[in-house]
Amino acid sequence: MEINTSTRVLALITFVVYSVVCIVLGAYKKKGTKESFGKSYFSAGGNLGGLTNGLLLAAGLCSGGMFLSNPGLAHSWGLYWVVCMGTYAFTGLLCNSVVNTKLKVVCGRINAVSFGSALQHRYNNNQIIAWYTPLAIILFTGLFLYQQITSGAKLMESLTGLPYIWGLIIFGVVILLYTLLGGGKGASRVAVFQGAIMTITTIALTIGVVSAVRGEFGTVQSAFENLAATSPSVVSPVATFSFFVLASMLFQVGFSSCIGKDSVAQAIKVKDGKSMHDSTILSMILCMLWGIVMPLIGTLGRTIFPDITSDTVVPYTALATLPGVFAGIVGAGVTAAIHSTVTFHLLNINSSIVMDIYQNLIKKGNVEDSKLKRVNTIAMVIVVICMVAFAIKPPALIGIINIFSIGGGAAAFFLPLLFGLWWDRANEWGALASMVGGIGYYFLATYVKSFAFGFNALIPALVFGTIMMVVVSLLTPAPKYDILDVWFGVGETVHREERDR
Amino acid sequence: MKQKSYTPDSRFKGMGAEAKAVSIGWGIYFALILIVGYFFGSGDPAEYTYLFGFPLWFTLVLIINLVFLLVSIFIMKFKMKEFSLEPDDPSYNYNSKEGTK
Repeated sequence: MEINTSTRVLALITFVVYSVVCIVLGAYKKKGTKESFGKSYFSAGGNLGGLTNGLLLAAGLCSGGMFLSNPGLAHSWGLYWVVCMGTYAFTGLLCNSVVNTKLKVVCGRINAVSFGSALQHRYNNNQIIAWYTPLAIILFTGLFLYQQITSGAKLMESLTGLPYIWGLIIFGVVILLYTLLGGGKGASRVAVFQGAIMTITTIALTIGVVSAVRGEFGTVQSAFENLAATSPSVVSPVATFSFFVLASMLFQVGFSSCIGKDSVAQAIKVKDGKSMHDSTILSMILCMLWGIVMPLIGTLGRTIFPDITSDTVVPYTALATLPGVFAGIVGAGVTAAIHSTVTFHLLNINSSIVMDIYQNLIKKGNVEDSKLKRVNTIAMVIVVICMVAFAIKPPALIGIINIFSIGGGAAAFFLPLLFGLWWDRANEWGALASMVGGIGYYFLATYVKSFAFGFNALIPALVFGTIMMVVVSLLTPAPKYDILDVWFGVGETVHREERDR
Repeated sequence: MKQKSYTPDSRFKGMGAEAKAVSIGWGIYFALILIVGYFFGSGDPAEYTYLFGFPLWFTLVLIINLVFLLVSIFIMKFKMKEFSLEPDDPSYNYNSKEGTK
């Protein structure tokens, strides 16, 4: 499609304004924090209120995909994808109620700010779990981030006409600046601003697309009736997938994706029970708005633009149905969605590198804050450079790593965290067995379809992992008193250590 | 050898109940949208009934989403207990126990 120069310039200006606001907000610092580096940097001091935390939670859950590729999938697969994405509304509720509330108490006791150090403590300092967890997080999260910034740079290319490679570099620099300068606290300030833009984007696009649909068909209903006649699979939930595949997709999107490697990062930022509940409510409202409306725009876009490439449905609809300034705001909104997700996960990767690998595993204990800070800066710069480099020339193995990231991420971390938190009999052998069994079964079911029993490979892998966890844990000795006291008891051991110090 | 048993934190039981309630609620939500979506939507798309501009099955799923959202907000705001999230259990006296040991 032809985009005229004034629209491009407007889009570019909107984007520059957005980036400057992000950097300024992120870099702004209040003086006089006395907490340790790890706590103040990664957990934002651990005292975020309901509003900021709810926005962070929602923005972390609803990635750039929600504003770009998921409307695209809803454009090609149809309305059922909207329903799948709609389940994101309750993901924040599950995260907070099922794991984060208790995890906050436990992490406070052992001063953990990263998922790796929490699992390492729970599973008796087992070295395989201690090394696998941060390394897997770096690999999978890195892969996810690389996909996010790739789609961001492509969006910038299509909106502003800036060459892809420049888009990537600008993306990298903006993220690096405000994340590095502000850490968790800066990112949480930026997230409030980003959440507002994302919401404006959603509303503007809805108005644009609905009025365009009305202009073409008269009512939304006749647009769907027309769609049912021309491409029936888009309006039917059952045409594309079987019942079991639908069930697995719903489960995977709504449930199993939320409990795992990101949980600690979410939990440690919350201040108290009230802020936990308020953030849950806000995340539910925002995720429902973004998660249902954005994909729905993709399907509605199908009624008026049936022939465009699915992935470009959002920028295309923005340019075709909205005036220039709003097209720029939509660009900034999608960018905000990508940025907020990238920041959250970038901090996650870095907490794995700095706190787990560097402090716990290599240095085995206390390292000065100034040194941690330096390692953190170097690590973050390297991670961002790697991401940009991968995006310029994607590595050949990407497809295999992608499959592995679901198995090695969801199947490996979901069960150890869930059982570790709520079953006092779960021990390191059970955790190891469930990780190996879960990943192994995931691969088996991915390549030999009959082992998946008609489901998506992840579901039987989780069932198999659960059996392994329970059986192996019961066959081996129960965890030690020190661990149980921290994770299930009143934390007497930790309390005494703190007092005697 | 039997090892020393821990004193359970008084908050964890309530948190566990909340976790259980939310999981069960989510299970009901999951089952409802799956069943409604599948059984109201399995007919021929050309003969769908429409409600508020969308195919009936989709509108029903949207309504279920909205009902669960409102119910969850109500429960979060008025029914759930707001726990202290500090490391120490507020209702446990750490000092007295140590003295008797």
